[in-house]
Amino acid sequence: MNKTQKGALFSLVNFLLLIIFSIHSIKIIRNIFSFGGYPNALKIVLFWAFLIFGFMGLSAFLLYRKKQSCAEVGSDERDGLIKKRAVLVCFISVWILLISSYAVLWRIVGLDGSIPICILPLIYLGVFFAAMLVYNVTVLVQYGWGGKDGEK
Amino acid sequence: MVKNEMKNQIRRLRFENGEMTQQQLADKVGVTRQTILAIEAGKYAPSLPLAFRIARTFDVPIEQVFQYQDK
Repeated sequence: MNKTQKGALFSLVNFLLLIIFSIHSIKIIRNIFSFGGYPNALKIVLFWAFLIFGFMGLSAFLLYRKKQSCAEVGSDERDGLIKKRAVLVCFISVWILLISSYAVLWRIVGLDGSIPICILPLIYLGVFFAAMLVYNVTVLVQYGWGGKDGEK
Repeated sequence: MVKNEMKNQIRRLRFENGEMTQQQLADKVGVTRQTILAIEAGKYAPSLPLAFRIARTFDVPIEQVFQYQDK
């Protein structure tokens, strides 16, 4: 497994952890506002923070460890090609996600309806997370299955 | 539709050149070991400069390393 592949795998796990943590946080915050508290809220948040930062630290250690030989290459033309294709897929997915989320909102709220102002940044955040997931999955898929041009 | 396939003799040439490892070849041509592995397995067609670098490492013409066949 080379540096690009490892990076994609670690990013994917980190983003998945962040998504689970965000969902859990929403649940905790909602409970705090609705019922005035949540059992062990601080412990849970600290556990997640420790888990995420711990994994990030481990990823950084494994990614930027000392090279086995001075001639060892971090990434090459194949990695560049794979990243380029992943960026393209990511860009297309961003547009699809943005347009579809606006279309869903339009369908739900209608032409004369209104939405809270916080929905817009939440959409952008969701699209950003989804785009990062798409990018990392595309990188991993290309290393596993191969693409069309330049690869079989 | 004409199908094409590129074959290579990298594995054979490596062993003929003092049983060179994939990592040694990768270091010499400036790519990762995974790329050499993918080229050997026919999963990745290298760029022309990289193909020339591989051929020069073995000190043979490029045609002896890579063969293009129409199917």
